[in-house]
Amino acid sequence: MNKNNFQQRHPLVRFLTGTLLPGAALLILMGYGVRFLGAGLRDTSHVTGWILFTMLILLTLHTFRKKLTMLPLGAMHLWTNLHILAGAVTIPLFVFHGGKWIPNGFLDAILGISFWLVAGSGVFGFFLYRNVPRRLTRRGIEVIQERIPALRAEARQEVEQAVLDLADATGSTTLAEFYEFRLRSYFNKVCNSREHLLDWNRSRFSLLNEIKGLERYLDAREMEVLGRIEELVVYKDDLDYHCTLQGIMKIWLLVHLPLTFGLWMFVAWHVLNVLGFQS
Amino acid sequence: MRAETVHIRQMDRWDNPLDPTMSPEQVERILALDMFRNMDAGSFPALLSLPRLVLNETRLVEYQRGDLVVRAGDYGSSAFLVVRGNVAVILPPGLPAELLGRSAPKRKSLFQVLRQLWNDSRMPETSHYTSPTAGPGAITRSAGRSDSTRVTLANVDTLLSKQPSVILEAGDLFGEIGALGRFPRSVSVVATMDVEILEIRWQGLRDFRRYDAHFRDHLNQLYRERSLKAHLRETPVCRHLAQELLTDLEQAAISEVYGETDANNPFWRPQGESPSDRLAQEPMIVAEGQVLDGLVLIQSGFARISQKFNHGHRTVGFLGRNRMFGLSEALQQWRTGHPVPSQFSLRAIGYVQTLRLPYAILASHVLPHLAPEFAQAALTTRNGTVFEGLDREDVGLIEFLVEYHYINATAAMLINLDRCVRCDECVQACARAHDNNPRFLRKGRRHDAVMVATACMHCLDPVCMIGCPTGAIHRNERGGEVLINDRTCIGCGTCANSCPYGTILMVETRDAAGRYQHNQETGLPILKATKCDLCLEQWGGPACQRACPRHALLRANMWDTRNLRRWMGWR
Repeated sequence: MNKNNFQQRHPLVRFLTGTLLPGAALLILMGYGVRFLGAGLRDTSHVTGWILFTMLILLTLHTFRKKLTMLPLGAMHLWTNLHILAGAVTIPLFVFHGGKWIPNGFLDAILGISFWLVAGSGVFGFFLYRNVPRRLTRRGIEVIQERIPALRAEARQEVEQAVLDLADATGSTTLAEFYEFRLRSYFNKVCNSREHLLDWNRSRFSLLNEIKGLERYLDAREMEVLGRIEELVVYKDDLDYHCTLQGIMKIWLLVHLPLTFGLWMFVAWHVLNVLGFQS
Repeated sequence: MRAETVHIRQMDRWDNPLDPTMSPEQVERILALDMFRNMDAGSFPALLSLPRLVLNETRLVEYQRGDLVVRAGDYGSSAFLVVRGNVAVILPPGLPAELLGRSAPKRKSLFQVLRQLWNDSRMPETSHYTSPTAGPGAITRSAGRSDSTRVTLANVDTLLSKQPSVILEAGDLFGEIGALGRFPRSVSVVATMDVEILEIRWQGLRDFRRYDAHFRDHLNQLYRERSLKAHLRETPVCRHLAQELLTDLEQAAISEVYGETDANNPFWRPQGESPSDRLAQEPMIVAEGQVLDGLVLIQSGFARISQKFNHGHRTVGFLGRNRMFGLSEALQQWRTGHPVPSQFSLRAIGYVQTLRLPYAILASHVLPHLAPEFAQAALTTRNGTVFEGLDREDVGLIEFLVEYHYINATAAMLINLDRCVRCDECVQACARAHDNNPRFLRKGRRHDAVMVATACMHCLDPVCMIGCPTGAIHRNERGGEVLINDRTCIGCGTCANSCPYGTILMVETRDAAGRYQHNQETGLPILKATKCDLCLEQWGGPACQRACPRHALLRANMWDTRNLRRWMGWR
């Protein structure tokens, strides 16, 4: 949609009003809660610890809610908003609880590192999910990731067939050689992933330039095929772009979730320790 | 996964008679009724002979005193002929909702819902039937028919004394407009004594109308006598008029039809046509600049409102059933005394039925009775034509919605690609709710960042229902959702071919053991139509929408522009 027409709110404004401000308000509320509950106690870390534990449960419930779509437990996007809000609150709460960025002691330090890895990957995912969909949309095509290898193979076969047919019919090898030495590997695999991640188009530009450079050696019929090849090169580049960016969103989840389960192991150990030494 | 095949007989239209127990004597008796006696049996083709249609498409039903035969608001697919006794048609305002005994759609139990977690089928599509046994009766009648929800009213005399009603006697036909036009029933009909009624499935009614000219004329006459007044009453300008004024309007109203009446699919157009070519093919109802003699009321179908823009036409809105065109011009003419040319063009998209109320009767009977606020609103919104809340710059969206007929949708699946993280949670949720078989494809046409996914839109005018030989595709009686009854679907593919949006898929079925089912006569695979059912059996509504982590997916009613704009993040 044209943002000018529909006056969509800026993502930063949405982040401020939807996450940061409510998070800060919640944190202040928690601060008062801790003061109230911890009144008379020398150390309030016990109270903050249990609040932190509750927040971690709340954050983890998001994953389980995902699997229970058949139950009327509220729309998933509301759970996601809650997840983000709880995550934003948990970070300062963790620092407050431990008194440091990384707590003392070997196992607590590992717990701390584990927490920061989860939190860091969460923040990274937050921005990833806000940035990548827009980039994919602007690319023009829309494909389902699982279909990309098949679509790429179709494009490769079309180019290959066109080049072979042309070589048979005209005896000219310009396009056949170009395909063999330049395009075969290009169509066989996902290329330029790093450039796609960073939104650079250098390789695409170079390849299209090379294709342009062939024009001086071609007749009218070959020019026609070259035009189609150029279209398919661009199409394949778009497929790679989608493959890379959709892939990074899926990989991110495969990092964030195992890290979370790792964190839970250390948290469980930490809680058992606390309960064990409580007496 | 095994891929064996089993051969069974392919079902056909006559495997699903409306009454599997209908006897030849009953057919003879029905054919002796006035309505059928007046038909020319010779005008029917041999395959669709009159006796055969009566045998398969009708049934005799006994109703007891107080039984509701037709409920206002239902999407019925049958017409009714009174054979013996009387029924009362309850005129507006009609019976209170609680008296209509509306029942909630059957939801899965908590255990059934939870069982979906581990009970997913490993096969893509399974069917529970094996083979129809010889003769009728092997297939149970479709759920969702009127006999499944019979409601009896207590104190029917007291009720009728309080409600305006009309008595229909033996030989009278009712419910034909709703059945043929796929409209919700506008009135309730109650049995005032023990009655016998002939129920006629709409497929049969359609064939009677098609092959018998006398019956066709009779239906047209019935429409003018009965439904015209109801249609007038449904329009905002006539709603509060006194009875005598309405009667005058009814006599003055001119009924008009634009487009192909029998076109199965008026929405498909050849590829490569330019927008101006497409527009030129749409029948003009009112031309821009033309002095419009009165008010145009849309009775059925959709119309495009456009305005000249340099060398082309810009679509600025659309109209559907019960919307009107020309009120602001009529009001201006009434106030100034000078004829006012139309500011817009009005064209029929596909097939449109309209009623034209001439200016003279409008000026004497309608305009003086309009509430001042209503009149003011009609003037400022310029016929109520512009897509509510959107500005002129948003014309691209309106063009897109009209061009591809998404204005037909009550539950289009819109995906905001700027938010969608391509996680496929929507597909997985749909699969979980449908025995591991998702009912939509996450691909479709795009307008900028909005994609209309390939999912049933549960149309206002569901053309997929036209031509279904068994009535397997039907409206949910309560919410109007378009559903397919797996037990009566014969896999003919008519609905899938008719759907302009390609949202109904024909799939090969397997039995519970995973074997592909093949027709025992032709050897061809047995097919079934499948599509989105809006998760009516699930708790909490469409699973796809609830599963989206970023609120990127909306099941949108295109006429609810406020909700649409809210979802898009518009203010």
